[in-house]
Amino acid sequence: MAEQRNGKGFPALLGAALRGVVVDDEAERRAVAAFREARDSEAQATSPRRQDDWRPGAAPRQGRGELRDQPPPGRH
Amino acid sequence: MGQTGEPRRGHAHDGELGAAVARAQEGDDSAFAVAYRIVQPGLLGYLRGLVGDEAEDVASDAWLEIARDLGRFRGDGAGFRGWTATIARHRALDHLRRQRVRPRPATLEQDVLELPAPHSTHDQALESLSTEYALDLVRSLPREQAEAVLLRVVVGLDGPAAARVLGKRPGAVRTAAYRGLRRLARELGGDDGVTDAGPRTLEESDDSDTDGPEHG
Repeated sequence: MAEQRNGKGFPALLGAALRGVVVDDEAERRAVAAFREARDSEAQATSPRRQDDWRPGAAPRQGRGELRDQPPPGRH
Repeated sequence: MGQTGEPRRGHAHDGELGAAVARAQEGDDSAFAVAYRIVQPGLLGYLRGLVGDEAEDVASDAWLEIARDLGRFRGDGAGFRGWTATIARHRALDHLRRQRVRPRPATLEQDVLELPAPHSTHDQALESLSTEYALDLVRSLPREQAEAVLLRVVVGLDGPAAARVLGKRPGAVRTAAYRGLRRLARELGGDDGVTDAGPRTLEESDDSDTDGPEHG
């Protein structure tokens, strides 16, 4: 059986196949340029909204369909 | 938790990713590039499942937002995968909404019709599972299953994180991922071979295999 011979399950093989896209250097440069621009901007926001908190235990309320983006609380 | 071998928090690069994100939040652009390289393959795989050939453009939009809002993010490497997947998903859904307004010649349904014939044997299929073929298979699933499979298997999120990205209950996402993987494995012509995505869930809820896509 393939699973045994490859030492991986089907999900792992599927995941590897789907991640097999070439990462474009130019796209990376654009992303890093955007990062620098944001970093150097004085207006960069640092206060987390609910959707930005992914610390363990910070799971949001859920279970009623789609989560909606909440406006940042108390933001001026 | 049992030894089910589920994808879960604890992805191979999560320690390195968390460290890179922390340094990027302190302003280190080379660390941001490291985080990009770790996350982008999975993110792109997810987006290709959602928007096909437009994935690179949608990913670019997502990264602009990720770069802009990085200061707001709180969490570790696994959390960063979830946060970025959520941003990418929102950009993909925006893209799909715009597409609906602007009719296009090629649609997801068209892709399904052109699904390649099943491989002759399961082994052969697994050995030669190309990215394109795998994407065609995943995109033939109901959207809910496709997204669950992509988030679990490609982005590398655990059940709760995938559920948070999708705004659904973890049990529902686990079931969707399991059914999707089982269906894909059958499509490839073998026994499902899907033993590690949550048989408990199957026992609990495998009353039918009708999975009405809820996104219209």
